[in-house]
Amino acid sequence: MTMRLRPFVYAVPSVGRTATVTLACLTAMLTAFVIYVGAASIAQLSLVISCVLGSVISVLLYNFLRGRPFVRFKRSVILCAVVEGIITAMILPLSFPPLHAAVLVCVFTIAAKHLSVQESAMSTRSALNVSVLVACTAQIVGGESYSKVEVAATRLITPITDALNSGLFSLFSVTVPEEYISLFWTPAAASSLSCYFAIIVLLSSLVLNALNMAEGMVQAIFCFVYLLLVRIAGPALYGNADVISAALSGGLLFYAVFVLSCPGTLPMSRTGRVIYAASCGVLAFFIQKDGRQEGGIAYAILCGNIISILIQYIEDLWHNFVVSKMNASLTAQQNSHGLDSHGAEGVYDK
Amino acid sequence: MKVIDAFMPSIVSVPLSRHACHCMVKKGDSVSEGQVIATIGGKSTLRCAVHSPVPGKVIDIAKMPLSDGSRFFCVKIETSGSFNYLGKHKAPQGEHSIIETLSGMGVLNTFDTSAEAHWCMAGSASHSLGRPLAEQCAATHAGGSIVVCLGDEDPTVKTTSLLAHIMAQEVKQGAAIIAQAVQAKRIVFIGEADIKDVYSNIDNTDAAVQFVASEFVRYPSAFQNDLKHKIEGITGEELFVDAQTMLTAVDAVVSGTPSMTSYVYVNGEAVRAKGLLRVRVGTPIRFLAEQCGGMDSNAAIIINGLMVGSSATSVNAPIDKCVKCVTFVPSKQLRSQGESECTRCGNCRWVCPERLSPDLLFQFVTGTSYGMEAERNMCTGCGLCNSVCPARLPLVQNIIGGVL
Repeated sequence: MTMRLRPFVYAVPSVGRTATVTLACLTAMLTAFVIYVGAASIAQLSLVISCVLGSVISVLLYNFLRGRPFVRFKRSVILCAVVEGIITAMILPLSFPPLHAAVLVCVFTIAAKHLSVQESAMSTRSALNVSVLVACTAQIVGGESYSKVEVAATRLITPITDALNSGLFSLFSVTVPEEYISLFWTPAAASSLSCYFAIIVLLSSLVLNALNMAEGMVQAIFCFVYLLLVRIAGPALYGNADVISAALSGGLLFYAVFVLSCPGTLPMSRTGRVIYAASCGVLAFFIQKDGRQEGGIAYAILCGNIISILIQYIEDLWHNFVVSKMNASLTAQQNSHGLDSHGAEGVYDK
Repeated sequence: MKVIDAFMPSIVSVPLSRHACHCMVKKGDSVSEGQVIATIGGKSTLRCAVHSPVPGKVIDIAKMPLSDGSRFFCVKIETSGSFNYLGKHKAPQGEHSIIETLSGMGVLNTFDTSAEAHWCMAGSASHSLGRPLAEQCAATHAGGSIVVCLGDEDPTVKTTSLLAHIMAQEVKQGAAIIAQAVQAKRIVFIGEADIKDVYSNIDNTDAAVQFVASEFVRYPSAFQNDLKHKIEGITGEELFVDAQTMLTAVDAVVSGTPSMTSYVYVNGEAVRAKGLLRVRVGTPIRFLAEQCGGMDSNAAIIINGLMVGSSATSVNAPIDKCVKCVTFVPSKQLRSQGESECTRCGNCRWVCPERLSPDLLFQFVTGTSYGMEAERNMCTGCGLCNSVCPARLPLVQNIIGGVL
């Protein structure tokens, strides 16, 4: 029998289990893309494979450079690296060279872990999201030169739209145009994989939140703030208040579900997370605009990560203040009972 | 539910304490039921005795795995001969004080049997983990209070609450005896509201009796620090005991029976039935599983609760006086405890009832942070941080580990 440590019951899923479910959701998206696009998806798949390889190699290399033996690797470490690689590939431009992508992923992963402001013996999680770092760099380097993949609309869109309009939306006296329904599946043209299959992303969000594997509050606040600004300020700034189109284009949902709440980049308090999510929503509105500026959310999340570092610093200051007050009151209580500084008599005797 | 006597094993393995234990028998000796086979040294001259739970012959004294996963010496006795106490009623012999009787009969205080003790706050004399009750009674100031906890610190353990319901009269009698021993002026019972009427008064005691209703569904709620907040007029010098300790005290003082048994609640999905058993000390754990209809071959054995307990590494590990609950869990239900990097999720900070930062304390213990000694002392060892950590880091083990 194996010796185990208490407790023997957990309230949250493990990192490995979360990575497994996330990988399953991403695999569903990739599978749908391969089936739908067919042979033309080979270039995009090579991008995914190169990013995954770059991510895994960077993790192995980083630990090797820190003197950690390979035999101590847990399955969860490799799984997380694979998930990070796939996410990076899905927010990179579709026509980005795979070799360049692998090198960028490798370099940025090692650099971000090494330079992380929260690095400690316990955690080497980067304070900055490596995926958005790579995506932003790719966009800066390539500018608008990346080509878009045009995908023909599915022939099922029309009957699906008719069925929904007659069966569901008619109850509210609303008719939804075919273009909106198609946005749940594929846009007419998009520059990254994250823009596709919003319906799968929504289902993934349901699954991850139901299994307590995602930060639903952060996702919801981010989307709410962004779409609220689109609705309220969109007409004045961009001449457009189309909330549904803004929600289903530009990869908003994908970024919200898979990128925004990357472990290590979130503040640790609920208040901090609300501020972080709202900040990202505001930044996304001004950078992504109403969904027309593809890839803008990556910049917004990158700026949000920097704000998160500041929030976490304030959180630690506040925590130290609260604990020092607790300790002072405890010391006063112990002194009134005539106890030693350890708070007990002989408790450290062995 | 009622208390059922466990099967009598043919060979018992009586664990010897790690604290300066003096073994008084050797291989080949014949022993009788209740005979003193070892003594445990205490801080004072009050030594706690270890008794043979069965009559028979000592066949070996060797190291073997214990119920908490460690290995230590045990006296193995093969059962044979007639019993002195089983099925018989004996009055105590000789004139001894209550405290001397408790010492001689080997009564331990089994209040708070968590794997790591977390009573290191506010200097209470009832500092448990199986300390001799006589020693604690002697250290308790006269005129104080005794607190009898009628609930379990771990919600997955039901032993104390069941005993409080089933054997209320004996528990009250034990409380009166201990109150007399320490000259307590107040007896406080803390239990569920449905037994309030039963525990509101005790005959034959001069101490004032008080009942404090408390629910033990939330965790943590039955540790010493949690109970203190529910009692008025707390001074920090109360003697904390539980229902099982009271029953053992009654057997010792009234019936003259040494402490040779333990009340164990057996449950879990890997056994066919569950129940409350009165088990002889030294009984192998597999006997309990057999009595409950057998266990799955790949079951894990958890002692004293899923939150605060420990895992036994062998089905032949013996039951000792501090074992209150044995849970047989299918191995596949135990989550992977493989560690990964801290994800800075903040769950441990949110869940900590003392509002500490277990992640920062973990860094402090591992030497990458400084100046957190005071905060570390505030940790009560409840283990909630572990249970909400997605990285499965051994937070409480590292934070508390250096304190003991």
